[in-house]
Amino acid sequence: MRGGLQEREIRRFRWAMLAPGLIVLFAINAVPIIDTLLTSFNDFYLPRPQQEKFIGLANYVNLFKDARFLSALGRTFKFVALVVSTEIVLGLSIAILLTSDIKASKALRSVFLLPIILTPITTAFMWRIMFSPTLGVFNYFLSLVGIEPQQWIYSVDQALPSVAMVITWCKTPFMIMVFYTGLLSIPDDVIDAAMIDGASRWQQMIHIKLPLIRPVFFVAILFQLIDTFKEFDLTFILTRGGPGSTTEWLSVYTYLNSFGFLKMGYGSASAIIMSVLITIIAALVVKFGGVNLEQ
Amino acid sequence: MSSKARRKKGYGVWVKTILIWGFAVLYLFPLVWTFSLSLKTQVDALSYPPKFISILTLSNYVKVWSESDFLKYCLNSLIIALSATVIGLTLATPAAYVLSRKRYKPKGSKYILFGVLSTRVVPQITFMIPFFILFRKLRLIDTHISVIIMHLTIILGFGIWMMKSYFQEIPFELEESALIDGCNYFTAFRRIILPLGAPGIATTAIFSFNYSWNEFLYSLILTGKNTKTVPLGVYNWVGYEEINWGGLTATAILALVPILIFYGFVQRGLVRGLTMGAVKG
Repeated sequence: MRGGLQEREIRRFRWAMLAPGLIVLFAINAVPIIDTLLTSFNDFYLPRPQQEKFIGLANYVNLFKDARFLSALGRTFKFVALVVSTEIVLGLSIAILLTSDIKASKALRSVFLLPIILTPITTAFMWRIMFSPTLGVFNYFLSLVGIEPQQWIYSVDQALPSVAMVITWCKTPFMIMVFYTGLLSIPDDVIDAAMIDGASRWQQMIHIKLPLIRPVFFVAILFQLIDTFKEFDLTFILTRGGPGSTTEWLSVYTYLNSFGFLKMGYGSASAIIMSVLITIIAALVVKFGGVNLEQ
Repeated sequence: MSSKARRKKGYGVWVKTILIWGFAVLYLFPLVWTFSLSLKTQVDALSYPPKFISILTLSNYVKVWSESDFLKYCLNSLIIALSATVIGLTLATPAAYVLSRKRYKPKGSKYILFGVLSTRVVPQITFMIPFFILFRKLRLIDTHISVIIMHLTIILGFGIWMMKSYFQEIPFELEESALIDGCNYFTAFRRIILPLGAPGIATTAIFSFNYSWNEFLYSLILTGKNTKTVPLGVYNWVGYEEINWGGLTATAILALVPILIFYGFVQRGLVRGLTMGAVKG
């Protein structure tokens, strides 16, 4: 009897807590997603909306025949891998340094938060002027040590790593904050116990702290992967996908089709493919990264 | 508080100190450069070699103050960012908590979580057109509400996931003893989880507020004369012919102030949460 009563109480508690958030979340997301999905099956050229017609999977088939789409796809993977791996290494190193016993780490913590509070649009314009081949401060610093001026975002070879550098600068603070908070919230007694057992600091980090923050760690990576895959605004202000199409990620490609060439159906199909790809990647991280959804 | 024995490792600390300051300088430079441009005239901003020492001027700030509606942009951004953060966290925190506990979460919570995540995978651009059309029909263009709703699409899912992972780290025993002491589920949540989870909630709040404050694309298409936000105020200084670097950077620097204030407030809450937790634990 008591068990059944408790079960009912738990159920009431569960849904009272869960329902409001989930209902709002799915309600506001369903509209655009369904709309995009429907548009992706249509031939829809924005200047002639009355001629919109259903063409089934033709947009998708055409996309996979489109060399520009396929190279954007490959380029996106390269870019995401570069950015996220750098962010993990930097983010984790800085978070560990911040929680270690060096002085002034409190003040430093705020320094690493600053890049994310700067409006991204400012960030993009600032890096653009710093990258400037003729009057940029980076080339000036290089000239001081005798290196000739570089073309940065204006060069076919350097554009991708240059943009990756900006995104990394901009987004690593997120990783630092998450790891840092994760490391801080480990209860002291766990560490004390390890110290009594004679574990060195390095051993504590590898065998105790890192496994403990594993859930937070993978959630941070998951979100970084998703966001980098979708990266658009900074790239668009920095390079508009150029020079040529050397920084044209899938998001830029999608934007160009929808708002540049006004082929809304084609653009929607590209957006859907992008979403499906990111979902697959997210599912893989969840599965193999040990983000335990059951826990 | 610190019973940790200090060991002798002189140079290790030095290496770490140098490393962290090195990173700090790299991270700080673009910001310092932004700040320096805000104090230079347009001619000095565009000179080469770059002028490190030039006649500093506050004229850019005066111009931002007098020639643009900066205060109005700030007010709009504040209304939007605060509402989006408060609504978002109010909805997301309880949901995140239920999903973090074996005892409370429903069957198939795995799919719920993945569903929540999948709302984030859709590229921003796909949200723009359907919502623009919808909001125009509802006459919500150029209102705060439309932008708040757009920001909630991001904040809600992010909040649920972030806070769930923080709540997971809090041991269940604490709530269990509260329940045995006669708390009901809601009070146990309020008295145990909210204070102990404060660092995680605060971090999520900072990111949500920051996202909303700085978000550009949605605001660009959904706001109008009355609801322009700060990032659009920054963008105002970008012309077809040339960029007014002084105006752009001065606006950007001024835009940092409210975030820093918000951060300070939340940070205080964060510390209080931690100490409360320490007393209880």
